[in-house]
Amino acid sequence: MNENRPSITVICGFHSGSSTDWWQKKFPLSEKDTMGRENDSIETSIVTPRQISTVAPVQGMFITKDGKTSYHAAPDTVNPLYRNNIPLLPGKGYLLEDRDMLVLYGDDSQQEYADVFFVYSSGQSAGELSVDIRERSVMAGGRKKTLLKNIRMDIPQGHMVLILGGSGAGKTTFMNAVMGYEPADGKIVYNGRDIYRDFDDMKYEIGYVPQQDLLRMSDTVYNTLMDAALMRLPKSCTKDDYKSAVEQTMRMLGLKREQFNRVGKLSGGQRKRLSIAVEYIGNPSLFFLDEPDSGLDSGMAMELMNNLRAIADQGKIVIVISHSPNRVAEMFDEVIVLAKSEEDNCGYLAFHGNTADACSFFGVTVKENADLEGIVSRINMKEEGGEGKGDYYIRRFAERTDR
Amino acid sequence: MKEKRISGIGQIKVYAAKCFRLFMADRQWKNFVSAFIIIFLICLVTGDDMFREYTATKKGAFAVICACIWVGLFNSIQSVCHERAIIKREHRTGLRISSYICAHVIYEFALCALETLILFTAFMLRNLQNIPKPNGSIGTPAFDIYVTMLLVVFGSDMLALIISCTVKKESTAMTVMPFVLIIQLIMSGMLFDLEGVTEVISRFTLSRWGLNAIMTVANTNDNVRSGYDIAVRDDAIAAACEPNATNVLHKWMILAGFALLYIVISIIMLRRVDKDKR
Repeated sequence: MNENRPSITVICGFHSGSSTDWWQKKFPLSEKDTMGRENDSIETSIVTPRQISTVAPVQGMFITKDGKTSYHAAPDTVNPLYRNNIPLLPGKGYLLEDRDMLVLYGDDSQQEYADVFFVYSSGQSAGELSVDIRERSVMAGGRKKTLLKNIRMDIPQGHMVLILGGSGAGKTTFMNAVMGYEPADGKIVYNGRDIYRDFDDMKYEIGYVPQQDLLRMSDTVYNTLMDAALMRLPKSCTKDDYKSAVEQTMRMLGLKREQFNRVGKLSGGQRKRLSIAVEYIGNPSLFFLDEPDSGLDSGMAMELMNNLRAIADQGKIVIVISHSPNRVAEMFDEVIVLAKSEEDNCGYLAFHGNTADACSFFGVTVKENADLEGIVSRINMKEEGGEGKGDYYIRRFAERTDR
Repeated sequence: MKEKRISGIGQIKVYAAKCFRLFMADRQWKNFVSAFIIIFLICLVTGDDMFREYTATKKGAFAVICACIWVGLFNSIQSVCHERAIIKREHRTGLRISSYICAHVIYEFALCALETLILFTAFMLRNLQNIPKPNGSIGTPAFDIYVTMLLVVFGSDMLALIISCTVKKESTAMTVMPFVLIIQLIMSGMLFDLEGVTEVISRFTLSRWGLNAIMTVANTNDNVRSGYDIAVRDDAIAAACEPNATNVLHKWMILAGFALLYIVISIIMLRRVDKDKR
């Protein structure tokens, strides 16, 4: 597919009971294309400026690509479209930005329903995360201790990235440095903006789910999310906007049934999903998660990763630290491997690339399946139960990058 | 273009609403029961001469002020430190520390007002026969006593808020609290004659100003009747408790000033939350 052409990615989630099947497909858009749920009655349409006059009288809503994209809906529509969790008002024009998330969802009362996401891309160069960490050090006992060194990479939007590494390799330090929480000596650029320099402006673009669930256990799920929406969504939102953002987020992360339950009563998996929901509701474009699957069984971990995959498919960058990635290996687009050098006890980049390449680089596959956990064994020190090849892979990857 | 987010006032509303909402969920109504039990015990021991005789009034006022400080300290000693990690996370995503503290102050003030009402009502009912006569008080003597008690409870609450904003663990807060309490009690000037450094320290205690205010409203200087009272009468306290409205107002302003100072210190201390290590 030509990446420079406008395209629409349709993502559908078919919810039935507690399970959700996700389906997605990207379609290139041409001047004559229209899209809708039915042929004869267009409820949701993507149309070009040339067709606007013919489609305009149709009851429902449609989107036009008019240099920039704009949105219009018939005033009497009963099923409005949502942009980034906020309902679009019928009859009002909106400027849509590249990679805005548009959602049309079904009836609340239905046990089975489908979420439909449209991610529009104008085909212009997408924003990416550019990491250039020369050094990250701290003062400990009056001495300088270097935690990370020479880590450079670019991560495109829409990618879900796994961070692997042994204990003390600097995974969380790396994450904190990239998010700007603990700045390193270097530069982190996202969408052309320096995160360190513009942190105050960009903090709403960063969602971080730490290892521990930082939630008030006595509050309800709904109130937790409503407060998060009030704090993070733009001031211009109306009460209905906040409500719909909460509703959509609960639905997206399977928390609707638990909305009136106290956080303390939720299961580990539900609590983790709520932690993600609190961040997701602010619609950040960079999503960082520190071991979101720890303590979850395979089914819960799979469901959680499915949620994260869906978030990445909305054009966001999702970066995940996990110690049990094998069960969800196919969901990741890229793998970052950090290893602690035995020479200076500092964390270095031992690999960055796609999953298949990672397995080939470290020689880890089990019955044709990616054994990502095997990578950690390769690089861990011998006293940690590993093979002690961290320095070997650090050098090898540096040579490969230099070439 | 940079989109505007919720204002500082808006954040106060969100967090104050959260505090009130969690009142029932966190079973903070237990504080009311605790306040009632404390004042009930005090009422059992104060005797019938409160507001009538100098020594009895002094002892009773001291007991009531002790109860006010205890209740205030317990209100907020763990309220911030128990969710410090959450605050750190929320601060990084736009929460203003000043808004967070202001929300807590609003909630704590309401809590203090109700707790004081319990303490005040029980204590005044016990001494219904002896309620002081108006003698230079700002409102009625009962009103003045309520306001004084409220200012002491609220000031103690804000003092505990500083501790809660400074320490990182609830256990540390509970370890520090008894020291704060003991300083308030022994430096009040009621138990011991204070001179030099201790006298200076006592000027920074809520207990001293609270006691002086109550004794001023209670008109204790005119209650020195028995020989024992004459023998134990303290000239310094007598001078500080001259019964007039200006004197009461002066004490109130000092108590309110302390509370305000504690709020500012709490904000400064909690701003360091970003430096907490993982």
